[in-house]
Amino acid sequence: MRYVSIDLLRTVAIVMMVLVHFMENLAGSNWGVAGFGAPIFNFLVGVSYRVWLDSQEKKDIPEETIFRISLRRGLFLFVLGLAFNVFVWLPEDAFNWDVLTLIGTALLLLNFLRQIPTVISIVISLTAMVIGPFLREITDYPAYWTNGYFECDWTFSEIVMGYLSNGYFPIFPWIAYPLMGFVIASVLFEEESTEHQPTATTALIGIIMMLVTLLAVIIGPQTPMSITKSVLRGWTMFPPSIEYVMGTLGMAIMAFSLCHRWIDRAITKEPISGLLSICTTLSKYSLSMYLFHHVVHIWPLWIYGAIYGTEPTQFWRNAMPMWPAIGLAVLCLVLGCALFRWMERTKRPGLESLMRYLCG
Amino acid sequence: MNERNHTPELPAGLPSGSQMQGIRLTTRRDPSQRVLLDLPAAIGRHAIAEETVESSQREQSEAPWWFLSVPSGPAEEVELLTIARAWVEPDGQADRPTQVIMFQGLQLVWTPRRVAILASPDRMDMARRAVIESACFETELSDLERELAVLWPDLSTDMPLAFEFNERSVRQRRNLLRRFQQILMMRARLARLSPFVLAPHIHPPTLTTQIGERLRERLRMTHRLEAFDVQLEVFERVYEGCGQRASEFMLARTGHTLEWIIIILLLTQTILVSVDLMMTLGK
Repeated sequence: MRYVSIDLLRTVAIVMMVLVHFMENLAGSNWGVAGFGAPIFNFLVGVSYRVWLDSQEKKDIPEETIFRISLRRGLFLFVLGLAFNVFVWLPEDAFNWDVLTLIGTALLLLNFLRQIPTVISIVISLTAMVIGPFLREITDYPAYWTNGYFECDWTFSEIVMGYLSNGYFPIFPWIAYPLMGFVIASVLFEEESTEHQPTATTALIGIIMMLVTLLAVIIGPQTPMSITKSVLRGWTMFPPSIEYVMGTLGMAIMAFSLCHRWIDRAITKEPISGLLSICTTLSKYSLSMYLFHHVVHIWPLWIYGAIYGTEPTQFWRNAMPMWPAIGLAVLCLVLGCALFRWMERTKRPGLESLMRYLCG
Repeated sequence: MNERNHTPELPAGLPSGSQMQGIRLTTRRDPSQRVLLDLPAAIGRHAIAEETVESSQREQSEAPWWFLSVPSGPAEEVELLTIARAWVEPDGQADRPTQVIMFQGLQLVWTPRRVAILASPDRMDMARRAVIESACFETELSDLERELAVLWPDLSTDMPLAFEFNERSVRQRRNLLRRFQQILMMRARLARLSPFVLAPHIHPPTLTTQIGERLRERLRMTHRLEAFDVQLEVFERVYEGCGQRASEFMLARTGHTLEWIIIILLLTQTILVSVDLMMTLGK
C-alpha cells in the first residue's frame, strides 16, 4: 500500500537535499534549512520498512524469506554506499560514511528489531542520542573535521570511529531516526482504519520534543561549560547535537503524523494525479534520484577540475556563485522528475528495481 | 422495496375476521408500544406489534415477522390453506422448506419470516402466542448459526496462533480478543436458549405446548442446537489456546524487555570502553 503522506514528505526531503547539495558542493554556501532533509529521509526509512513488512505479513510471506530479503537489502545498500563514495566522492573518501551506509545498517538492525518488543527500539534510539556526544568527546571529533569536512586515515580505529560517531552520518546518533520511524509507524498502523489511529498523540509527542529542544537551545548557553562543550552544544548538524537530533526527530514525527492524519485519510482512491503523482514518482525512485543528482553535479566538477585545475577537487565548493547553483539544482530536479516519469511510464528499471531483482 | 419496511398485503379470498400482524423482536420495550408477548427473562426479548414500533427503531432492528390469522372451522379447508401457503411464500422461493402442521383442528404454515395460522377464533390468540414464542427461539438459533458460520475463515487464519505466538502476532491480539468475546457471547446465548429448545414434552399436552413441540421437531431445533454446540466447542478450543499462548507470550515478553534493556546498557558500556581502548592504543 502506498501512503501519499510518505511520498510527499520524502519528496520534500529530496528537494531539500538536492538544493542543499548543489549549493554546498558548487557554491560552498549553507542554507538555513539544510539540516531538515536528512532527518525526514532517514525517519521515512523506518516508516517504509514497517509498511513493507506489513505488506509481506499480509501476503503470508514466511519469516525466513522476510529475514533474507531484509538482510540482502541492508547489505546491498551498505555496499552501494561504499561504492558510491568511491565512484562519486573519489576513492580517498571511501569511508566518509554517507547516508546509504547508514540506511543499510538501519535495515540490518530493523530486521533484527522487528522480532523483539517495540520499546527496545525506543531504548536504542534514546541510547544512540545520548551516547553520541560522549563518543565524540572520547574520539576527539574536531580532529576529523579540521577543514570543515570529514577526513580520516585508513586505519581500523579511525574507520570504526567514523562509522560510529565521526563520519557524515554515523550510526550514533543517526540510527535513532529510522528506528523511531519504525516505532511510530508500528504504533500508527497497528489499527488498520485511519480513523482509529493515534495520530494526534504521536503528533503531540513530536511537538513536545520540539518544545523541549527549544528550551534546551535557550537554556543551553546558561549551563556550565562542561555541559555546553560536550552535551548541549546548541543547534548543529555536524556534529549532530542532542538538540538537533531531538528537534528534527520531533519535527519528523509531527509532520508524518499530521500528514498521515490529514492527507492519507482524505486521499483514498487511486490513481493519484497532479503534483502528488510527481511526489509518488520521486518517492518511488528516491534511491535513483540520490545517485542521479550526485552524479550530475559532482562528476562534471571533478572532470572540470582534472582538466582545468591542479587536481579534480579544486573547484569543489567554489565552482560558481550561489544563485547559478540554485538554478542548476532546480534544473536537476526538473530533469530528474522527467526522467523518472519516463522510466515509470516505459517500465525502465531504476536502482530500486535492481535492488529488488538482486535481493528479492 | 426494503424488506425491513415492506408490509405485505392481506390476500384476497379470506373469510372475514382474518388479520395480518407484523411483529418485531426488541430487547427493550417502550410504554407506548403494544407488547404481544414478553419472552422468558433468559431470552430477554419482547414481541412488539409492528405498527407501534417507531421508524428509527425499525431501521435498527431486523425485518419483522408477519402473522396471518385466519379464522376457520374444525375441518381442513384446502382452499384457505392454499391461499395461506401462497402468502407465506410470496415469490415461491422460501429460504427453507415451508412447514405445514395440522393437528387438533389447527393448521399452521410456517416459513422463517411469515407464519399463517388457521384456527377457530377462540384458540387463535393462544396459538399465536405459542407460535411467536417458538419462532423467537428459532430465530435466535438461526442467528447464532449464521454468526458462527461467517467466523470459519477467521478460525482457519487464527488456528496457527493456538500453537505458536510471536512478535509478529502481537498485533493480532485485539482481533483475537474480539473473536474470543464473540465466541463466549455465543456460548452464553446458547446456554440461555438451551432450556427452551431441549425442554422435554409436557404432560398432559395442551395446544400451546404441542405447537412448540411440533415446531421444534419439524425445524430440527434439537439437532441443530447440538450441532451448533459441537461447532462452538471447536472455536472455543482454538481461541482458548490462542488466549493462553498470547498471555504466556506477553508475560515472557515483559521479562525479555527488561533483559533486552540490560543487554543494551551492557552493549553501550562495551562500545564506550572499546572506543576508549582503541583511542588509547591508537595514541
